[in-house]
Amino acid sequence: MATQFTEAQDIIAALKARLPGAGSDAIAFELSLVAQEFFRETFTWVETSTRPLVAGQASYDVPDVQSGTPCGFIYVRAGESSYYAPTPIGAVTGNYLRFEINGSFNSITLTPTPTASGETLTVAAVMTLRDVVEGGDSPIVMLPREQTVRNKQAFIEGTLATMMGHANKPYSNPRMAAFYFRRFRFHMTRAKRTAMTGYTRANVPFAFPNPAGSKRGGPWFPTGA
Amino acid sequence: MANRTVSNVIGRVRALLEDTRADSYRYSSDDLLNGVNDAFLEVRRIRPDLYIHKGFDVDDLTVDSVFPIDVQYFMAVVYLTAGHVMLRDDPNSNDSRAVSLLNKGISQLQSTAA
Repeated sequence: MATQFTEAQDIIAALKARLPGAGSDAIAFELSLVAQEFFRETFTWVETSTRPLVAGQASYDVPDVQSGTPCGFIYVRAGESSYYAPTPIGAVTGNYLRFEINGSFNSITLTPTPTASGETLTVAAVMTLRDVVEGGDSPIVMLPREQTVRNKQAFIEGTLATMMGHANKPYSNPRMAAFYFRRFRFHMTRAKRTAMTGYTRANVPFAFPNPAGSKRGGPWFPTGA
Repeated sequence: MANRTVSNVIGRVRALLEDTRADSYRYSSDDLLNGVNDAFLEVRRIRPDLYIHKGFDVDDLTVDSVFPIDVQYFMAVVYLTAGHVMLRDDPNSNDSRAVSLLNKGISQLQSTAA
């Protein structure tokens, strides 16, 4: 299903009410940076595309959608086979199927080159938001609708964290910035967990590392105690 | 007032300066326009985020130019302009008032209650 996009006007309106003195363009810009980080870290926005393999053709485009750009891959498959990105340990040799990323994730090259046509190549790419500021225009943030509905609070609180962290602005508030940053991290962890479990309630033992630890949880590394 | 222009800024500055008699202006329109352009340079320095969509460029404005930043900072620009032109060595100007206006303009750019 093609991704439906929505302009982030209601999120920007919520932010304007909480950030007196902030300009709409600055809010939109920060929101786009927060959304970029959110999608890049959580793998919640995945675009899957299929196309037929062509004999002798090694390079294939990666799905590129409105306001989104690929930043990683969940899988690359053809028929019953899977392609794997090259690993630096040199363990993968022989006729193992591999793919290499070209340029800014705009295409991949399959190794070895397919020798027969007919199989379907399926690429599942992790997407993130494209840069929104280009010369002369006000930034317009177009977010994928489904993920925005599900994670609206993450975008709001992440943007509040970055905006309140600015220095010498009417909306500067370092303490609240720290508070909202923790909330944003929580939202990212939750979003990543639910995405990894296919949006079920299954438990996945994942958490972002927390080197400083907390009074409740203690340090994240074993102490031997 | 949907689209405010630089001429609106100059009108408000003239009101603050008690310089509204068109037949005997103490401050010429060119002086005030220069004051407005200098005020926007100050805005750009203190609040670069307001110029994010312009690539941080500050254009030279004319009296017909549309107010180039968020209109919530209209009065800050008025205070900065009025303060700037009042710094002129002139028997009618008041240095302490000029400094107050400049500080008020800068405070409005940096804090909520100013």
